Amino acid sequence: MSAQSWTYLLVGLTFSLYIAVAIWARAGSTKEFYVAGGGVPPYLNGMATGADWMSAASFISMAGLISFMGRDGSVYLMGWTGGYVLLALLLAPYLRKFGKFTVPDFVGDRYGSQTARMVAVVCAIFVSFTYVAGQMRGVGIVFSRFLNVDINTGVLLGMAIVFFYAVLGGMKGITYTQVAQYCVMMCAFLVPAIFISLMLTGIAVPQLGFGAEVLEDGVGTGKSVLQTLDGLSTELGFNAYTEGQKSKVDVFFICAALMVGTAGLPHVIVRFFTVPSVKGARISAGWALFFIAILYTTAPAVAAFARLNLLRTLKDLPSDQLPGWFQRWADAGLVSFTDKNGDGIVQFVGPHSTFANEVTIDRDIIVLANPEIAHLPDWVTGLIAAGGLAAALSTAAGLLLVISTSVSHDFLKKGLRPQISEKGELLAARIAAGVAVVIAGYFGIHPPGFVAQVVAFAFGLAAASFFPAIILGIFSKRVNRQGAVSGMLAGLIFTMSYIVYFKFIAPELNNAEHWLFGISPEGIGSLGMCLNFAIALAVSAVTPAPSAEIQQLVDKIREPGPPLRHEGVPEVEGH
Amino acid sequence: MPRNGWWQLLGLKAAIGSLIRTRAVSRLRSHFINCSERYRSTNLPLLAQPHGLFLLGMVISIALNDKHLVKKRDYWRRNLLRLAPLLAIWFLGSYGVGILWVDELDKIQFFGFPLGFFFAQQGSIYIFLLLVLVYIRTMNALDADYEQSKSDKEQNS
Repeated sequence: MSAQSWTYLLVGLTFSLYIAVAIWARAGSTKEFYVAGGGVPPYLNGMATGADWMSAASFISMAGLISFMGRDGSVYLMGWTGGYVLLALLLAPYLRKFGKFTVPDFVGDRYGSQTARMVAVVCAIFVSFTYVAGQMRGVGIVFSRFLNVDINTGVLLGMAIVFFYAVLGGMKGITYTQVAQYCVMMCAFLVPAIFISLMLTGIAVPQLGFGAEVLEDGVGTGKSVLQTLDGLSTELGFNAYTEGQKSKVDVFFICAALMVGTAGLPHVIVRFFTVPSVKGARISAGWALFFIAILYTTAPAVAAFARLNLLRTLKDLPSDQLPGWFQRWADAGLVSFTDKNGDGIVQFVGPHSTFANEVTIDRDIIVLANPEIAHLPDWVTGLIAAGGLAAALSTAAGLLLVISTSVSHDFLKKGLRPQISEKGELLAARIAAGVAVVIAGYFGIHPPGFVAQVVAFAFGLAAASFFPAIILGIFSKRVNRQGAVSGMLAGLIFTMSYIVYFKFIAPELNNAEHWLFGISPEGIGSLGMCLNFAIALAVSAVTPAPSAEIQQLVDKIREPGPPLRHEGVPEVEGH
Repeated sequence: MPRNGWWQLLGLKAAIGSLIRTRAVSRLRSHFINCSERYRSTNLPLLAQPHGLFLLGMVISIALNDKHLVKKRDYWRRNLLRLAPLLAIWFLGSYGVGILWVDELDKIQFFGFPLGFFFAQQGSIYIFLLLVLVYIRTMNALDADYEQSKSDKEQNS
């Protein structure tokens, strides 16, 4: 069977699996639609959180990013896992104890303010939409590259399938399909990684192979993977792989923005509302980090292996002997070669070389073409396609749910129409999910130029808005409505204007010389967060303390015991 | 000092208040008053009197462990006490060894990795995982303690 038919087979199989799961897990009530009835076992929720969290960017782009950035790429690894420590220690257990459906719910109730709730809703919708557009685009790209389907058809197919299980099953359908998607994407990521690690170092575990000795025709070369890579990189005029180029301040702030942003992203937080108890929320956060760590410790190994393979393959290669995969991906526009000096030899070299670089390589190649570069069997290619789709679809579904919940629950039920019936609210949630799928699909087909730039900033915005409001809401009884709202607005406006200024108004000034304290727009969310904290505390100190009821609410959130029950929230028994 | 000033935000008042209101301290106080009235006439040194011994025992037991501090407030205080070192390790394990001191650590070789690079791309993630596991265990134990003392209290009364 060819790679093409394997891809069709595997993608078809996984899609039918998702549909079957979705039919089995239909939602009957708003509680099932919003939080899967609150009865998901912690390890399954951990797996679903992993799939929800690891997007097309984690699966397709991250290893490539690290591969081209070397040590500077570490910020993604630390940032996107370290946030789970904050989530597990500071947020998840308390929000579960609070016992409602959404992040705006918490912000609104804790600060006793519709304004605070609406600020949170707008942030949640904005963050989720920028993020989901990127996922739909990812779906389209995978379809077009592996299945030779037009990008638009690919997006439509992806929309149809997400529509099916998100609208039908709500959080319940999403949770169980995400469990299936997690398994698919892990297989797809690990299988090629294990093969390549075996081929390069003779060790099956990529994490160990990463530090092992490179084998040449089965014989040890006496140099480790990283030493070989550093040697080859500097020889070809690149920077050494294990040395950083970015300033420490910038790396520090980017890492912080990614970490805090991770902990503040609404589609991740809402996953912890689905487990039965506070204890379950803590355990579930542990499982989530475990399942995520499997990919995040493998990715840097894949990055290094692929870089080494790439440099070795292309070094001093006569230009008429370019490998087959190079031709194929050149047709897709992801790699290109022009013999600038006409010597008939490929020069893939870095900025310190005396030659001019003749090769351009899109960083997504590292994962997408990995099986071909390493001469793996055809079915592995099909697996990568299925995995990429699983990663994109699972994240898209989680985000769409946040959008639909924000509209039906936070806008309608808690805002415009408090009298809406349970059935009406469920219908509104389904319609909102449907509309959100269509809008996301539109952005997937017609990506506005700014999507790619903005996705990274979703983290900055989440860090500068939600995170401080939630943390202060739990850990301080003194911070009040005025403090929280002014803090959120200050953090949001500061972060947004900094990013808009350097990315859209004056992109030519976007360099370390002009940055505030040498912090790039990617890392500015951390500063926005500090500003949010400072202003929230300062404003609260000069305004009256929150009411006695709210202080009691905070006390209740802090003490151990079963999650709080609220009036009008139907408890589903015997789920 | 203003009633709701900055010092309150820092939790100073809460910390002192929670110490004064703990069950241990209030029990100690009532016992102390009872005993001291009964033994006031004798001229024994403080530590030879029952309430003196009790005082000493209390100080020692507070110093050794805080298991009997079981009211809600104390649960929260103990929770925070357990969070602090975990967060400190979180910070050192990522920003510390992975970013701030990475160049110094890179001079050390560790299983084929420069040590700083290892922490940045592998080690920090293992540290995170370990931290969350420790946290789950600690909090489960703390919750069990709380339940235990609550049911003890119900049986006593």
